[in-house]
Amino acid sequence: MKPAPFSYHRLQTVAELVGLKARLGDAAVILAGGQSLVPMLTLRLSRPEHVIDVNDIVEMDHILPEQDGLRIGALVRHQHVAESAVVATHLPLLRRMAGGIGNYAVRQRGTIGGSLVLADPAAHMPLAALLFDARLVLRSARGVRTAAYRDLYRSPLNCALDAGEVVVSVCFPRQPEAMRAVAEMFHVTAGSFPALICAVRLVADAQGGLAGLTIVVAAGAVRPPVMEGMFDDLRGVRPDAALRGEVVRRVVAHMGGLIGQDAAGRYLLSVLEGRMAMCLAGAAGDTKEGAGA
Amino acid sequence: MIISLTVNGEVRDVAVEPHYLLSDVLRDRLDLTATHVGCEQGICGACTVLVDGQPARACLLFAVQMEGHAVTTLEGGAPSVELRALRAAFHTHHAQQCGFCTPGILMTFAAYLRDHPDCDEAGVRAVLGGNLCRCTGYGPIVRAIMAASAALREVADV
Repeated sequence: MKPAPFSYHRLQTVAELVGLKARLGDAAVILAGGQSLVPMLTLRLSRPEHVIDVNDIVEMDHILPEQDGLRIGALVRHQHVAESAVVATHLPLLRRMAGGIGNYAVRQRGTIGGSLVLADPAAHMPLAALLFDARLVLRSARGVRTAAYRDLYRSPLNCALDAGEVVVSVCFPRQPEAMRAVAEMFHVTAGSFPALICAVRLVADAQGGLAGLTIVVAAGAVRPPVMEGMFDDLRGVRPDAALRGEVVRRVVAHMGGLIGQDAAGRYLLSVLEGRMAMCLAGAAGDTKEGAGA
Repeated sequence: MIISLTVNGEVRDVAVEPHYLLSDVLRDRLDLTATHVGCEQGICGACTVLVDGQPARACLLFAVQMEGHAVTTLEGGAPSVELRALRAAFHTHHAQQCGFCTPGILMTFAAYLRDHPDCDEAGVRAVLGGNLCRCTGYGPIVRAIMAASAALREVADV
């Protein structure tokens, strides 16, 4: 199949984009990297009247270290994140996850803003944004606002932007010194979406006990859950093998309730059990990036 | 609408509709049939071309987007040193079976070897994951790419 006809708009500035989006509303889709949108148009899963090409909007293509964190423009390509020395310094895990997206050619085009708005439940960037509690900077004709991605991401493929809103950039909060983040990505075939991603963000206190633990798991086409409060009773405990075993048990039980216990679900849970243990060991150990991909 | 496309260093004016894919315009309007079309969903990599020097799926781009950008296909008038090395190595190592996936692989690695002169086999295999070979002859392809990489390093050392 081929895409259905549409009107094409190529814009140069965010101001133009906000104005046109306000005028066209839901009749228009925004074309950034197009690595997911164009297949959807080709399969005619989407038949918009208007396509707004934002690839020329250079003001959305930047990676800036700021006082309170790392700001990444919505148009920044995955390969740019994967090769960025700034990202490597501030959020090495984000850099590694960007390098695991799709394949080399796809990473040259695909953008962080597009991936976050699409909110594919198996995708890398949404999971990273959930793990680090990133905030999106949103512009519309009504002005600018920021919103936590955890609040916007309601369900798979549903990033709840308000009418006429566009994502301009994403801000990853500055991380404490004693933070270690590790992720495991389980691919069945190279280049495909991973069947499973699990990610751990661990903050240690001065005595080496747990000061904070966040775990996000993408598996089974559900909105990746952010697991945080369920570890509150473990604060101050050293993340030794026994404690890590307890965390793995809780995570596997929680995910089991979400993705079901049929044959596919049981298989994913068995993989999760092993990978989760690797992530936690990496986050509790000395390596900043932990175990391999 | 009529757009101006810069393909292989040449400016070509061509009448298109906005929903025409770059892969179709290259093949059907400009007769540049080295760009193969397999899945048309960005999976197989057969249609990979260079856009401003970086690999991209031609089936995931609209031709109209390419105004103001440089597109390079396998027919490219003056092949890069990487492409010449890859062609020679593919010949030597019998890395081409039916040939359907070959153009996409050559374009992908012409860019990859240029940007990663010290690449190792694990890196090459990871990148090759973006190009499907239905003959499943990946062994010779990997060997050819590694040989091309080594040959390029030798040239660079002289």
